[in-house]
Amino acid sequence: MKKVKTFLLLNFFFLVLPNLCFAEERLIEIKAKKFSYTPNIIKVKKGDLVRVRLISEDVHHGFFLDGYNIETSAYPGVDGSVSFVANKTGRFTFRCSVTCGDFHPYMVGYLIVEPNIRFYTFIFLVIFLGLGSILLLFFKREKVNDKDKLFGLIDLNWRFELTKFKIIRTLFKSRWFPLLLLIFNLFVFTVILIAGFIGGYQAGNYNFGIMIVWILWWVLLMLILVPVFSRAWCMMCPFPIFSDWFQRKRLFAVNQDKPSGLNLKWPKKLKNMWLMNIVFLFTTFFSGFFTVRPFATFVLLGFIILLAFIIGMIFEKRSFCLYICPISGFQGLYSQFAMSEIRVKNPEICKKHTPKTCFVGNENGYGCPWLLTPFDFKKNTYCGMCTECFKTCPYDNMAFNLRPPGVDLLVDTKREPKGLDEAWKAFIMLGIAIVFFLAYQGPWGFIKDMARATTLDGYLRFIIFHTIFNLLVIPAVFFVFVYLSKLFSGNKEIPLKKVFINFAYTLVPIGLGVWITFSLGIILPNGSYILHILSDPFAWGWNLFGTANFPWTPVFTGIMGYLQGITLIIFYLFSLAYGFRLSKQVYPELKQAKYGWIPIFSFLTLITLIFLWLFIG
Amino acid sequence: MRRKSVIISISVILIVLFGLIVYRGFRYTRGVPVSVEKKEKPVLEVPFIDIDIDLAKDISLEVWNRIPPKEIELNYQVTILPWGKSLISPIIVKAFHNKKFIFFYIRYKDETENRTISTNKFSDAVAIMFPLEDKVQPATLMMGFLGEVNIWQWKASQDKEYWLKTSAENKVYTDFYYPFEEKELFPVSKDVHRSAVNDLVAIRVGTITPKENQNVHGRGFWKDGYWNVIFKRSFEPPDEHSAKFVIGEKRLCAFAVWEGEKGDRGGRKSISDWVEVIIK
Repeated sequence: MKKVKTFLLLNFFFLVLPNLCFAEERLIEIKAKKFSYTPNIIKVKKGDLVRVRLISEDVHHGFFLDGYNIETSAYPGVDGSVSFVANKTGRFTFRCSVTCGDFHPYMVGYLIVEPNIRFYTFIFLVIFLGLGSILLLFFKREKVNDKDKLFGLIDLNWRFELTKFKIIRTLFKSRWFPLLLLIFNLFVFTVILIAGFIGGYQAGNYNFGIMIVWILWWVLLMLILVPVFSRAWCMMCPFPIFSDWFQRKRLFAVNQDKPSGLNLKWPKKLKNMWLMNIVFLFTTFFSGFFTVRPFATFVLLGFIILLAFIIGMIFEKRSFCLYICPISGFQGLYSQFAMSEIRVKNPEICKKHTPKTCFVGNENGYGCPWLLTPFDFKKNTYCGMCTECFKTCPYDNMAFNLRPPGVDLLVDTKREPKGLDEAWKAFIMLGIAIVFFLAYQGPWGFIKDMARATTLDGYLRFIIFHTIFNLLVIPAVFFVFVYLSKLFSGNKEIPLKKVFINFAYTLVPIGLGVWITFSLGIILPNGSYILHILSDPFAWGWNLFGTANFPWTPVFTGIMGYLQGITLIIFYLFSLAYGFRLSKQVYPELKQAKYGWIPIFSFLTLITLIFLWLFIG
Repeated sequence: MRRKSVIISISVILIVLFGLIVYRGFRYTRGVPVSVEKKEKPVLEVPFIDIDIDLAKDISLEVWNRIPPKEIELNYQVTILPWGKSLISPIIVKAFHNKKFIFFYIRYKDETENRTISTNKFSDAVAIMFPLEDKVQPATLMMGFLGEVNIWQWKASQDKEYWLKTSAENKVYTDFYYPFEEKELFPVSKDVHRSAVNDLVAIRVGTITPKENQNVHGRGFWKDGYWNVIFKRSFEPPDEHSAKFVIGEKRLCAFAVWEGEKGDRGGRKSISDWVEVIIK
């Protein structure tokens, strides 16, 4: 009881009393200039009366404060002002509420109302849960016959077959599926291309192409499609549809003749993710253009469609999707975490079945366009979910299953000696998330100026930093922890490369979590623009659905910090859960696995804390 | 071999086509270029006529009939909020000088005479803006991008107080001229106008300042749905912040009109582009 009293008293003196005694009136002059605020980070104490005077130095700018939902705006020479009592603690983003140019959606600053209890709470939770997991590891006795359960709750072998329902199986076996989805998306992307072409330098937030591709599609991909449905986007992606039609010489029916085109085999040396890694990284060099300028999006998408068609004419089947497509690589990587899969129901049936119609095709469907052997699928990584194997299997032996998230991470086929490509994909995705956050959700104007190529010199610096950070710095830091892992484990026989590659998969859950967190920062503040562009896709003054005049309305941005913190913690826990299992796969003895796990655990905890600081700190 | 050639040809054609589309896109990303004829600035000639006008008597309409009218088109002010919701255009402008004074006459159609200001009631007004610096921006939009300007603003409400000696405010101010107190406890300071025209100086938006000495006079008459407004100032500039007129030289000016009935005030007004003034 005495301890409780002391604790309460200390709390009062150190947390409550300072806020009661020292609340003051703060007059803050914020200068707004394309596309940043000065000061860009403002700190006040809880209870302070904050008076903001907004001064525009170039064009009409706005000031909307998340969480407090207050707004003002300023013209050059006509200042805006707003006052409020900072009665909510935490970090709140203030953002421009008036479309002021191409980077308008990225024009933000931070108001930190101290004490930032939300941030400290999440920091505490990460450390508490992380150390708790380590303690459990060392002090909990494992029972020999225990089933391997995720967080002690979900059996990793649990599967629920969705295709056992007749309606779903019939759908998967129909040739209309996924063709209708493809045609629908072909229509949508045609509108996107037209809007991109005629949109020119139009503000991106009022352009159909920009909003559908970089706000709606990207967020759907990261929030739902990949984590839940694996590579479902590849199933309905319209980009390779022209080369499919060209190769097959049919729009709908199955043609068993020799495909048209040169039908060459993809070079053996390039049968990995390296080319995709490079293409994706190269594409992100231009993120400061195509995420805000409609015509840049047109060029990017148009080039991808053209390249997909030309590659389809030269090389066999979906070589483009497998080895070049910049979107394919990260989908493949993160689909290992997905909660669904396409697998064989009974491998024994496949063993006896010749010829393997899922691979060579028959009158009902084509042999796997992704050049895989569906009869021995182990991982989602390279399966484009085209459902041809459902159509060609005469025994209905293919299944679409729900499963615990992340089980593919424990499948150790193709990890070494060639697994470095997938490892680097994980590093690149993590690094790009950091750079994108700094450039597009951070308050630092000079980085935005570099990313949008205000000066050639700055833009080149951005590209060099971006490349070195992603290809070298992150892998190098990770390597240090991997080296320590081997040192801690005491195992001298195991190759360092094997340890490096295997542990790289621990970055998949946290990487996906970071992208989901990042995506929340895109969709919640900017999602309302979608209502406008749906009604007026070409900016011709249409009002198709009556929403053309719907104002910009940030949604749930007040609680976005909580959502982001919770997301990071959940995916951190997944990384820990699979990380130790990977450690057990790497090191032959349990003791080695435990000690070898500590440095990797530290690395994961460190990057989770870094991302917490970036997003809500 | 034939198949290879066909595929290479198709690829090349597609790449070239895409390249052409991208080229066109880059060329026209800001819209299809159109050639716009450079509009000549309207020219307002200011002849010498050896006549003086005594504004206290009348505005001598018969004098103005001797001078050819110049029609000036006005536009909505859409650069800064609040945007104008009504448009008064065109206006008729005439001017002359007698070497001692310079006179400007503005006539425009306005169905209602708004000389009274009250809650949600605004005065009609007209203004002329003269740039004081040599380097002048090509448009009158956003005075914020200009250098120093001298503005003469005639207000109908001020005209009423100055010439007709009656209050332009409705009698709704509870503590304005409180009738029951011998001594006003909370006196309200109110300028006594020295003219119906405000002589103002500004360097950009938000900096309009009345000058210490008010040098411009003016008067307006509303008749049959038209305002007739006269501005009068000494030909020689009374101070360094006043528009300067030199015989034989060109000057620029711009016009603005506020229609009180439609809620025009402040930035909500109709504006003209630059007009060339030639002093003869």
